[in-house]
Amino acid sequence: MFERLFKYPESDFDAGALTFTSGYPVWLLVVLAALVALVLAFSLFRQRSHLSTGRLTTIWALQSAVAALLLLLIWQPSLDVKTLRSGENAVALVVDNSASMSYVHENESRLQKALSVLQQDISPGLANTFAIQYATVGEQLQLTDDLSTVPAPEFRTNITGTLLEILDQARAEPLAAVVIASDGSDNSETLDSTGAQQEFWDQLAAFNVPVHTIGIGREVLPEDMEITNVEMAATTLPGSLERATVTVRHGGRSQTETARIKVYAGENLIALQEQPLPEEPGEITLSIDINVNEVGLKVLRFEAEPSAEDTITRNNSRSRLLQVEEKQRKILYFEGEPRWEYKFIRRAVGNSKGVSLVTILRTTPNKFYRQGISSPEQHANGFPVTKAELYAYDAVIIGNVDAISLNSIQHQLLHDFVSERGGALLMLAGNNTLSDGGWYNSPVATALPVELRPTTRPTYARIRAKVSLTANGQYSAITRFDPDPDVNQELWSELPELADFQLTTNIKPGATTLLEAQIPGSKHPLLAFQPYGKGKTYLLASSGTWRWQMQLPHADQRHEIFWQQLLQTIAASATERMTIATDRQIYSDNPVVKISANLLSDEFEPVASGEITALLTAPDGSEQTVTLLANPENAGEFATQVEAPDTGSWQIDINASKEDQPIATATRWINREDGSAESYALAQNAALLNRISNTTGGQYWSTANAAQIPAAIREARNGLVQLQTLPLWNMPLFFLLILGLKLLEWVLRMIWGRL
Amino acid sequence: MIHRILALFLALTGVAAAQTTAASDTGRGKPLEYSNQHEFAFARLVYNGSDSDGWGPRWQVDWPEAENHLLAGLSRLTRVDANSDGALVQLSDDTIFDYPWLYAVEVGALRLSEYEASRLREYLLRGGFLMVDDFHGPYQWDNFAYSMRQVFPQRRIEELSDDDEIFHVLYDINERTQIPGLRPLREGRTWERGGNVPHWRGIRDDNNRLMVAINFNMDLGDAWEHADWAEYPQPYSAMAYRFAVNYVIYSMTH
Repeated sequence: MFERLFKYPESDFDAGALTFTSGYPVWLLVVLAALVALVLAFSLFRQRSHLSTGRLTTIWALQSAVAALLLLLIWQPSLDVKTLRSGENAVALVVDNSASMSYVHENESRLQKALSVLQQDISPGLANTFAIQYATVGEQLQLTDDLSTVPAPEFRTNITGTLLEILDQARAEPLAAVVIASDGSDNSETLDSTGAQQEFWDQLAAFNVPVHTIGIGREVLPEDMEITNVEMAATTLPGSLERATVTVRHGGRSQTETARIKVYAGENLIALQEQPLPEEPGEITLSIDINVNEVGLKVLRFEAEPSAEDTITRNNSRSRLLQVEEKQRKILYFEGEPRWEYKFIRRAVGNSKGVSLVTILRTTPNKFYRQGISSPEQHANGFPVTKAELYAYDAVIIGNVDAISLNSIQHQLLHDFVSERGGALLMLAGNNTLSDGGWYNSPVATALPVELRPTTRPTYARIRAKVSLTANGQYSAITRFDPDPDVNQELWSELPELADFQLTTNIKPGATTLLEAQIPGSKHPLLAFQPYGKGKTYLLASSGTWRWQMQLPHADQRHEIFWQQLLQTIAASATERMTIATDRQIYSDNPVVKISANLLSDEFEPVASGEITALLTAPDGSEQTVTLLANPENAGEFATQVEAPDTGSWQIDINASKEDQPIATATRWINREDGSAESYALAQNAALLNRISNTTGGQYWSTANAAQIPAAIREARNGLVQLQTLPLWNMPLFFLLILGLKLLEWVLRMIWGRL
Repeated sequence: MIHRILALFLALTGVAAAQTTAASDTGRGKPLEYSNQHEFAFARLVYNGSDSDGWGPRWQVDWPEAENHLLAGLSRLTRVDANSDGALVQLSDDTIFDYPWLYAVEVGALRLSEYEASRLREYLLRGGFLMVDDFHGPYQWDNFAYSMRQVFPQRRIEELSDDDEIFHVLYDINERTQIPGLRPLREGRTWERGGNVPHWRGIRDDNNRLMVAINFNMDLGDAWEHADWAEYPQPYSAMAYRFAVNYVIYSMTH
């Protein structure tokens, strides 16, 4: 309708500018229109006819309007507007042909739906104005002449990377827009790394080409259950209890009542966890504890039991690698006097595979009894006095040692052991330690999770105290006797009372309390920790856990488990001299492996000039050696990138040396698998598609309204344009107005009896 | 608030300390209460057993002077926070598990019921340590060995060698000598009941740690008890103290 009256589409009026092509000045138009109106007024009112003044004014207004319109036409109004050059601009129609697009719903695959929309709803609307380029995207961009034949499905989707490629290729030619029909399931690395992500979005916006996205597929797949993520440590020590956090996307209770997750090591079922599903579709998280004893690589497979309606079962399973390392974390325990706690700690962790305990016990004022040492000279004079000696340990336990037993250098060393080396410090209670032992003056006090204050009365007493778990303690690996929180709580509540207890004052704001001690009338922190610098500090406000061992039947392992878990956890949290990492564990349809390493000296200073090599052993046994290059901007950091084309487990042995002297070695494993990446994240990722279109100035469309895309592209006038002057004098609206005004005057004069 | 909690806490501590005071020696009878406010408490095993000599209950031999003397020495010679009073415990009493150190004297007269044997077995397997002393000759040995077979039918009693850690944990005791009781010394000999040769024996747990230290054909208790007697030779007392200190340190470290 608008175009019938105004001759041109509304968008032309929105985008164009009104001009007059007659060349006469506009002010003259205004003056002439005013003069004509005056003449008409003079003529009408001079006759003094029988018409009233009001009626005469109406007649005058109608005649003046007609005269003004006629004058306007003489001035030749026109519209200056930029229009796309017909046939000189291109639009890229892109279809996602990755494997996830073959997902069928209601007898039609996503790819079929996308092609139908592009070929039937969009292409015809663009053909008259634009040159159309066709492309498919999967892992790579492929340009085609049309979409009648689509290449075989690809097993990765790199929408983000291929979009940049399309836009980059179109730099030399005018590209009005890109239209991409996709389910948004991008499993490239572009969006994995937070750093790269912003760079991508900036690049995309800089091209200034609108990208219109058409969302294909459903955003919720109620029939499909998927393990979307499994979080767990890559390495652990023998005898540890590792917790895996499994995230499961589900279709709500209509699909199945419970999520049932099984964990396999090879073909052996090693763990099983069930959790009721909520009513509505969404995600749930399950924690599964896995016991690991044997050294070596474990390929763990987490499987969610599919419902009858779940047709895509590949995404019900995810694999993770867990390296059980043979090495032992080293712990130094310095005890100021013979105590039962010392004996029973040693007994509890004596058979622990992952922890090596070296103890220095001051038996007399002048004698140190040492256990677990590697030579008769080691620690012969007591507590270490050099960084190299102390930093060789991952954790330090300080028993009933009064502050003056250590000199100021040793106190500072202990402080730096935590803050600088990234080690863990555990302070035990005693009548000669903490506040009672004068530790409030030590730099170590600033690192501890509780405040130490001078006190005139002892804070330590041989008083029986009952132990209870805090909310944090219920889910801590240190205090886990049983994976079931209720059973765990029960097991803790059944423990005999501690032999003693030390009252601490304020827990520091950043500290976490795992256990509390109950004395008549009140509860107080018993086991607390906090991060400090690069490391962590722990406080156990008792030296009487040995009562658990002596009061319970000898077969009861709670005392042993507690100490093993505590010491393994604190030691494992310590920084290692060499840490190595790969950008992921499982490389699905992606052979590029990024390896990085951080190397520290024996005093835990970054080593900038070392040499690190990686020996890659392929699944077929073939080997290649690559050198990790030092990052000049970050001392101690080394990195490289390698190709792992074959599927299977790849072993990466890292060797670090300096001036031909070995510093550290480490081994990592990765798994390569093909054909699985597209089975995950099957639901339409509308958020990604929306963000792409919003970033570029395009629009997100559903298949239902995608037919409006051609008009939207034309109206955007992106690409090569020309300036056109569109005449408006012959606009039908003008003639209709003149005719209408004169007809109205004639009718009025007929009615008022004066024609 | 913190001060109130501290005050309450210290008040409770004070009550406990008062109990300790009440637990001091009440004569030749068993103390009525014993609440240990120290790390190490010398627990003496009270058992059923007497010998044909008519000396009455054998567990009472040398009590309490032996441990009173020893504990003073232990406190002076080491950093062990030792209670100056000893405790008396029975195998049937649950408090036995609060004392990981246990001393049994005159064990040649030891008689254990099956229940008591199982209690002693459990005590030792949990980590308790038993030192036995002052029994002599083949008859008393057979009787003691029988009791130990009741406790551990499958574990053997072994002879301890000179280089065993228990003889070096604090003092390096490279030359071991027989520690005689006072009565045979008065009679001009170091042995009694035909037990001429001293034996240091032991029973180990599955991790090769000693659970039971057996002092056979010797009387360390007398050596502690009579350390302040002029007629008891000082070298024997000194050696007996060293053995005991090593046993205590070993029991608190293994």
